[in-house]
Amino acid sequence: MQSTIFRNEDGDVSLLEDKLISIIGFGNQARAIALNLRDSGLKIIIAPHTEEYLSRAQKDNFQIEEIPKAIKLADFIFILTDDDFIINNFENSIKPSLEEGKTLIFANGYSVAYNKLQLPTTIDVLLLSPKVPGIGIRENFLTNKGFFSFVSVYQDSSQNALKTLLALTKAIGGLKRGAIEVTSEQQTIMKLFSTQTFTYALIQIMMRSILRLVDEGYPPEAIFVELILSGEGGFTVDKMIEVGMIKQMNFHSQTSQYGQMSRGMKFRQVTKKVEIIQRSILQEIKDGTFVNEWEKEDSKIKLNIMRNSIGQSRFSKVEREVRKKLNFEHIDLLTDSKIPSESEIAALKLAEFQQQVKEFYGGI
Amino acid sequence: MEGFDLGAQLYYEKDGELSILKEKTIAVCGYGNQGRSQALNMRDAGLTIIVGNRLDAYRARAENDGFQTYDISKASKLADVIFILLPDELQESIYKKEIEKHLKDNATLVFAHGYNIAFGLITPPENIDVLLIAPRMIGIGVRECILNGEGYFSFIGVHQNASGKARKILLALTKAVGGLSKAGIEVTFEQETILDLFTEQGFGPASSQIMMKPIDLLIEEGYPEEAVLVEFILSGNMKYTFNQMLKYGIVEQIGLLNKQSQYGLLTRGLRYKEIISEILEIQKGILNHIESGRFSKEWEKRLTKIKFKFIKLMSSRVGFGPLEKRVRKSLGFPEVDLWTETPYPTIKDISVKQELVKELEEFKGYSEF
Repeated sequence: MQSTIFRNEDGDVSLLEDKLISIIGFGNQARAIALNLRDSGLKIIIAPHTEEYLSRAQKDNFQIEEIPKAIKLADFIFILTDDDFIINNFENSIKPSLEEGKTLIFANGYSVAYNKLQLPTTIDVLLLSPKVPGIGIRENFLTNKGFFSFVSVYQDSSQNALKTLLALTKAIGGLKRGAIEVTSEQQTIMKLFSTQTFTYALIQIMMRSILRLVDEGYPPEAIFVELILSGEGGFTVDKMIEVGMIKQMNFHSQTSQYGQMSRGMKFRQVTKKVEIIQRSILQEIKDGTFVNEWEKEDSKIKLNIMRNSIGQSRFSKVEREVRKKLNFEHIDLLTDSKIPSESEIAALKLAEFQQQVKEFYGGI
Repeated sequence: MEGFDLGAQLYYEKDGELSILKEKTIAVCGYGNQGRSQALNMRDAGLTIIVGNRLDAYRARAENDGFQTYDISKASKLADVIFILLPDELQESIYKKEIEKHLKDNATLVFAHGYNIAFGLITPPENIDVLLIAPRMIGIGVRECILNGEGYFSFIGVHQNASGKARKILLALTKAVGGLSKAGIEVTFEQETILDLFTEQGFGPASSQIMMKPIDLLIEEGYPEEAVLVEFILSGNMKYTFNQMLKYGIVEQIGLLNKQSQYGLLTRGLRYKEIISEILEIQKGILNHIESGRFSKEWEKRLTKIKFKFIKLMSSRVGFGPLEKRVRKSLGFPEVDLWTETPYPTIKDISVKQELVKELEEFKGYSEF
């Protein structure tokens, strides 16, 4: 299926003159979007949703307001917090100030796609989802390289929503490279699906391949440098995108190309099984099974069990030691999760799950 | 199975003493991106460099950079140290025809990849030092990371020590090409070769089999091709994932994702249990083929080269090849000539880039939302 792609000539930033834009949240994505909008000459108000972000926004010299006031003052409101925050605070802090004619812009379609919000019908609702993280939104704006975005109109009460969408997309730097028309539902499903398959595979196979080599007696320092710590990965991705995945094969030696292609065929049988699993993962995202599962009470405990298990795995220990020896800093991102107690696990009937996780992630 | 031994010897800038190279002429044979970057770095370190290359565009490039250039036989005659920075598959024949007979007594041969020595395709005479200096960085990065002060890792090793000074020469040369800037990690030629081949054959295909399948599935379900390819590949997002893995660790960076993503990724991951065991079995076979030399023997066969051409042709004609071509065209990617050179950054480029790095520093340590 062919898509509609919007480019610079499709957006008119002058439509935004004299308008006020509020940004809810000041994490990396919000900060990058705010800086880009300001550099495009627009008036911005920030409504940080945490204390930490308050001082961060002050440091950047933005006008700061409480969320309800920021919404009241603005014509356009970017919602750039995590999905949980918006779902929990929409009715009380956001909806009451959403007067007729305002525009809500989401960077993630999740809360809209799964009908988590009761949106007033008198406003415009847009999706503007940059496909790089905050640092990339800023970097590619400053270097004038641009980045891809997914955009669409979810609700058009003004009959002018598409024009607004394209003006805003242009102002953050999102039309330079191209903005692809994608519905909130499509954006959400693709994002969940790619995390659960693509990102997962990268991490999992990297861990397994490293351990295979460690167990064969190769020096762990050299293995980690070879697979990740050289920093070559970023360069390779740049090249891959610049010339294409197939074409970039030619940068490798003939020996390497033959090795990759001929050995790749050995995985063909496995791929068929992978497909069956991935089909079920996709189905569960589409029919809401995954989201319902996540919203159940025990899922947070399950997550803690898994985080602890992977954080304490053998792989994790090797990685930490190697990084230490090679002078990489260690920052804890997994150990803030509470290890559930025996009685908690018994009460929620999670003993079997815990065992399964231990066997899988603990075995690594 | 449980243990691991962090015994690798690491070397740093302070371990290299350049004075040992003072009287020596160093020939860089092959002026591709690795050759060029290493030659320029060594010249900046104050060493005497000549370039050996046949008469082609690469040789002109070396002339342009201000080097004395010769064909490879002549360069080998003149030099005390010879860097072999030629494609693996050409090394054996070029070495036999143009290098071996001209080698001075006690000369030093430096390889950037262990393959030809590890599998016995090249066996240098006993009066020669044989060294490995394998930057863990692509050619252009070898230059750029020195200019911008970031540095890079390298794998280094001594295969043959005829002069009795091979290690000192190794460390001096590694320092001069910039390979001690982060650390030189000592490995054998075999280890370097096997790590390299296994990454290509065991890690690459295994991960791409799982990673590419979702693209097919979404397109089959009617999602727009351009959007799917942007989501998975063309956004360049993976570069940022690699950077997170580098900064925080492969496991630790999972903690940067939002909780729902973590939950999805880790629970769905459990379903691959059976498949992971199968993949491990296949990887074991692949590693065994590499270690036993079966892979390299297979590759030496003439029939294999024909098979290779066929596989390559097929890969561009069916499946992902045509899809990628179509989508790239639709998204306005220019057709890039593969060998178009990326110019090295100028001093100005680097200062602009460093400004950018400074500005982006503010983003580090915060989460997305």
